[in-house]
Amino acid sequence: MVINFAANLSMLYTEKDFMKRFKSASEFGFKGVEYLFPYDFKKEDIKNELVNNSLEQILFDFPAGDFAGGDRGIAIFPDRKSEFQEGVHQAVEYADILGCKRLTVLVGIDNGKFTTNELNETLIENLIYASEQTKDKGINVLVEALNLIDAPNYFVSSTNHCKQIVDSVNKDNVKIQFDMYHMQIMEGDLIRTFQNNKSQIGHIQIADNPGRNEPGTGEINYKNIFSFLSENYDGWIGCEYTPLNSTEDGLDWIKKLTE
Amino acid sequence: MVKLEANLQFMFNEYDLIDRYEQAAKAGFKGVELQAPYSLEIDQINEKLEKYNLKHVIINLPVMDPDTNLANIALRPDRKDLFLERLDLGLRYASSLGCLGINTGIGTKPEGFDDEEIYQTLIHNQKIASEKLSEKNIMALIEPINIVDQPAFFINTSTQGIELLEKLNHKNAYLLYDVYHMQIMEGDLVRTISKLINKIGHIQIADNPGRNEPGTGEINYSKIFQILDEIEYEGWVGCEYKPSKNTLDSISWINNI
Repeated sequence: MVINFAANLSMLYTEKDFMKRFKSASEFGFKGVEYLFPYDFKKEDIKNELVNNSLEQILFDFPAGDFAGGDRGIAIFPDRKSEFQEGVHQAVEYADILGCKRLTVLVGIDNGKFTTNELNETLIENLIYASEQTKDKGINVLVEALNLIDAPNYFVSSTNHCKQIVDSVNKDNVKIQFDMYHMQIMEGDLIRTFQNNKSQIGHIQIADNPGRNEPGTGEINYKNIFSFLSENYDGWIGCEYTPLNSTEDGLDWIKKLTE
Repeated sequence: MVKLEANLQFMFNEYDLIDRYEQAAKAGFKGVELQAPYSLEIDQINEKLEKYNLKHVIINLPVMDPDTNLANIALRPDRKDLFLERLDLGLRYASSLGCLGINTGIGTKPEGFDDEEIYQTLIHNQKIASEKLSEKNIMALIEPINIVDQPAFFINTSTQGIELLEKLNHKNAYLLYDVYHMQIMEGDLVRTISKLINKIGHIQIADNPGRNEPGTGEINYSKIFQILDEIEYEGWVGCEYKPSKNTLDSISWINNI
């Protein structure tokens, strides 16, 4: 079966420095890479890694606030709109150079300072802004729901809420990022949910549950999921999991589950 | 290794109901479950159980409301009498057949009553059921059911199931955790089963989507069974699925897992 897997370089090959992960992914056979953020590195240096290793830059995230300090995005906060907009410009500058056509919005942790209505409205407003800044470049803006066990109080934690936001934004280039690990924790019913939202899903990420390790280590039957997706999805699938042991040793799931 | 038993409502449909006991035994099952044994005589079933050395693990209470033809007998504030009647019948079957548990049935929301009144009726009925069943050492089992297949079903998640058990507050009331229903409603199977294991009296399985045999859908049942072994689940696991082919061929998943 034909599936386009992208290596997530924020979680895979962490045995190596970030700039060395591109080569490792390429040597294994990945054709595409994704990661959280490129902003600590020079655009040109990353571009070199992509070119030298024949890799496509599939996706990265808009700046998401102080990630190390606990932020998981800033798109919901009425008092951080200008910070969000600056982030959009920074992301677009990187995407231009790296040839990246998908940018993900992490929405943020609800800190209790604003009403649900205010958070939803700010998010929608910010997404419309991001959409306008990217649509002429053929970039899709993706909204991702996270699970509440790993990210307590994260504002968007279900496919339904994500879809409501995307519907309200009502822009062709704003879509759902469907992370099967997060959604298995929050709601289950993966195949039906994908089917029901297919036209609005712009990217998929995977890991097994519980543990967020390689497909095949948990309760999700990825063999059947891949067989279903090979006939119902032609986008990329980001491998965003924590290797149980070494990255290389763990990668045999691809062969086992996609034969 | 988990103890698998055959659901005779769903499996061996190639045969008459009474002949399914024999077929289940021949296929290697040591236990069976059957939602509605009421069209059969108790003696007739017991004869099969003895002959084929089968444990009749659970049955369901009759839940159909003859007035509305809906499965809502435990929820009707105006028909508590009918629930009691059905409870007596179910108990007679379960105790004669040596069942470990009865699925006491919740049902679809009846028209014309408010939610609180329905909920209080459910608690009232389930309390009586838990008490009466405890006298015979039979578990009272509460089963949440998904709303894709049964849109108006009243209890739909393990969280609601546990909440109901807490309100009932009876040591003989347990959760019937159906992996298929819970995958549709909430996912996070391994974590939920591990967390609730002391409250789970019975488990049922099918894959999703489709409700066919394990291995046909999105659930990795080898992992589920591995966890049930690790947490030392001592109950039975009922194979409540629609075979995607004939029942005997569908059973090969057991060896694959």
